[in-house]
Amino acid sequence: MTIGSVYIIVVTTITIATLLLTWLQNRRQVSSLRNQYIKQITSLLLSEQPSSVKILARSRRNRIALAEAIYTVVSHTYGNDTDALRHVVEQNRLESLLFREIHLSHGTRRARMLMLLSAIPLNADKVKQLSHYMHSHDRDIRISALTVALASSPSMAIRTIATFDFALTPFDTARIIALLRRGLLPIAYEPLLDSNNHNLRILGLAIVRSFGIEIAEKHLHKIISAEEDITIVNQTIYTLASLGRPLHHTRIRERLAAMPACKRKELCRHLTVEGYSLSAVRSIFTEQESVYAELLINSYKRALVHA
Amino acid sequence: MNEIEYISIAVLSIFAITALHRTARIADAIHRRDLITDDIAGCCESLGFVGCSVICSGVYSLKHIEELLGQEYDRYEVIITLDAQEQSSAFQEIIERYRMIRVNCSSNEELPTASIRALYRSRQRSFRRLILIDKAFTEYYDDLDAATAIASYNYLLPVGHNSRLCPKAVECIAITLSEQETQSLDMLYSLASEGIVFRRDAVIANGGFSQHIVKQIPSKRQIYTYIPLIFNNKLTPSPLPTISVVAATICTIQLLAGGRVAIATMMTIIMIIALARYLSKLSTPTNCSLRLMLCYFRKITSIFHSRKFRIS
Amino acid sequence: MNRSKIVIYSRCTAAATLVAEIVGCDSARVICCSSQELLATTCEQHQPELVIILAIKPFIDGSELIKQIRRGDKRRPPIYVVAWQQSEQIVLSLLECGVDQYMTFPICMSRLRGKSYSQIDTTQRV
Repeated sequence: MTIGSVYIIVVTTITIATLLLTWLQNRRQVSSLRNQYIKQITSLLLSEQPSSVKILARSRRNRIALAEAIYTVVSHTYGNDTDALRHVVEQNRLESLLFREIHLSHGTRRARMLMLLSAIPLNADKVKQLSHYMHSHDRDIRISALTVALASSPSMAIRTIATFDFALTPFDTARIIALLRRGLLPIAYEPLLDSNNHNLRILGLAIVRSFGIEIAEKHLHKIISAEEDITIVNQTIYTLASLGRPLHHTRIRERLAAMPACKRKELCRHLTVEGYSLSAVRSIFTEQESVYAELLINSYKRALVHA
Repeated sequence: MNEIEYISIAVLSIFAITALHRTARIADAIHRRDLITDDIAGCCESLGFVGCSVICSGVYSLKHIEELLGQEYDRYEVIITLDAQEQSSAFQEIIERYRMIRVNCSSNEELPTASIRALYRSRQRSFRRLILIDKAFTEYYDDLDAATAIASYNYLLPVGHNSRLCPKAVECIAITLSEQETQSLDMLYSLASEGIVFRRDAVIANGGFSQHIVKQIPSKRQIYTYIPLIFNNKLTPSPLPTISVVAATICTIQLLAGGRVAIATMMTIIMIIALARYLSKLSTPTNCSLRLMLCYFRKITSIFHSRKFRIS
Repeated sequence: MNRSKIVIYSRCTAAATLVAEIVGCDSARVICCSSQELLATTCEQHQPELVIILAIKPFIDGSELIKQIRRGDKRRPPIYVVAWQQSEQIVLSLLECGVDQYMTFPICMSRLRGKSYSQIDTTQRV
């Protein structure tokens, strides 16, 4: 057999495999199974007698669909009966299935399975088996593992985040805040802002922004005055701006003066979008920068005189 | 003859391996996109203050503007540059549909090339993300410069007449940019599709848009993604000429290198088409268009892509 | 007995199924639509008592969905929007467009159910 023939066989095999994958992709789109389980779970959670509703999934495919349905319901709602869900999870042995899937898969699929696990009422001891995924080099896997840990033991949340090895990205904090919105974690922003841990502070600032906590202003000023990490200082200034608070305090002006010109310009544009007035912007920027801000702010006003 | 066959198979193998590698990376990126934007819903509202301005040249159809405005990411705007004298009816249509009024506009010192006749914003809050610029058309780089001068956000995504945003493109851009530690990258480009995102300050520092802007930005300040951002809606296949060219190429190869190499070439082409079809099915399962497939086909086969900046 | 009708629009079938199950009951028939065109046609044909939209896209892209929904129905059916966005600008935009109620995900199932029941009740009485 020549090299040409070998090549043709290999390429033909790959082509057939790709066509097969495309066909399987078509089949995967059928989400009726998951939707069927969503209906059953919703009825269960809305039922006055949850024990009378039975949800059973036999095959692996059905159990994954059931886990997906539980995730959809749990992520879109709050205040559900956890005991009823726990009963469904135990009845269908979803915990063991997802653990096995997590161990056997990798990459995005592993992250996805961890995500499904985060919606399931879990025993905190079992979650310890997944702690090594929090050190994964894959961003999605480690943050999904973190959300599983947070969801399973909310009382340990601060400690878990503080010991997380990697810096939280804005998307990571958004995922943690999604847990807060579901009522899984307490919205205690003060210990987070007072902490020296980078991740906790970043999360605290994100909570203040996300829930529009205006009474946190004092804490924010304290951070701006004392913090050495310039990233945190910048985020704090932006957080104050998102709350619509005045920015003319001396310490803020000093911090702004130390910023590179391009960063100040970015902030100037940000304040314009946030709807700050020209006088508010003038009080914190130089004269030249105020002229730039004036152009931007004026562009939001109707032109009464046409050139 | 054997030597020619060996060389030909080696070249085809390089093509096939590159195509497979690229397909695997794009497929992985699409899976990730689906995970972070669909499955983990509700986390993409405003990520780390990353904002994106879509700057358009040659976009005037209402349907196209609707598509561009339909992105649900919060820190986002669409800036359309149009010549009100050349395209007065389209201009008027946009003004009426989106209830736009003329607003103040002074010359911007950042980009002297951006000479703007008039600026319009909507009086309706729901369309506040749309900005319309009236500017005499010279070339599309100048249109993009004018839009850059007006842009409020730090990142710019140039879009042309035939460019269509891929699903969840803006959310993916925001997530990718917010994940960068320095947050001051100058350029993000997609290896899966068309579309380049520029940092506004980098564009201004380079004197505005030109075909050389990609080369002007240092490679260490550029990052790439395999997530599809923009596809070209104009790639219309004309089957007869394409089939004729492919058939002629295979016949020439048969004459020069023999029948086996010709079959190998044909199978490689079929494999790449199958890979492109798989990707387009993966990307938009409900709307797996031929154009999207051709876009992937072009990207899979473009190993040595041009470094010139153009919009379609 | 004439059952009241609720029309739900969402491109995501899972979210639509969830909301349909929450608001659906013996006295209300729920119709799910996956495209804007289908939603407009369904509203024109069935004249629903309540329309629930699980996206903000139709309100910010200029497609004038509300106009299309209410064009064929003189009773002006109430429109609820349930989406993920928290931004003040978005909320104000929706109210400006004529949306009657905006709720953000995650939602409380019993609250949404209670709201839809009372809305249907009010609409039927009117």
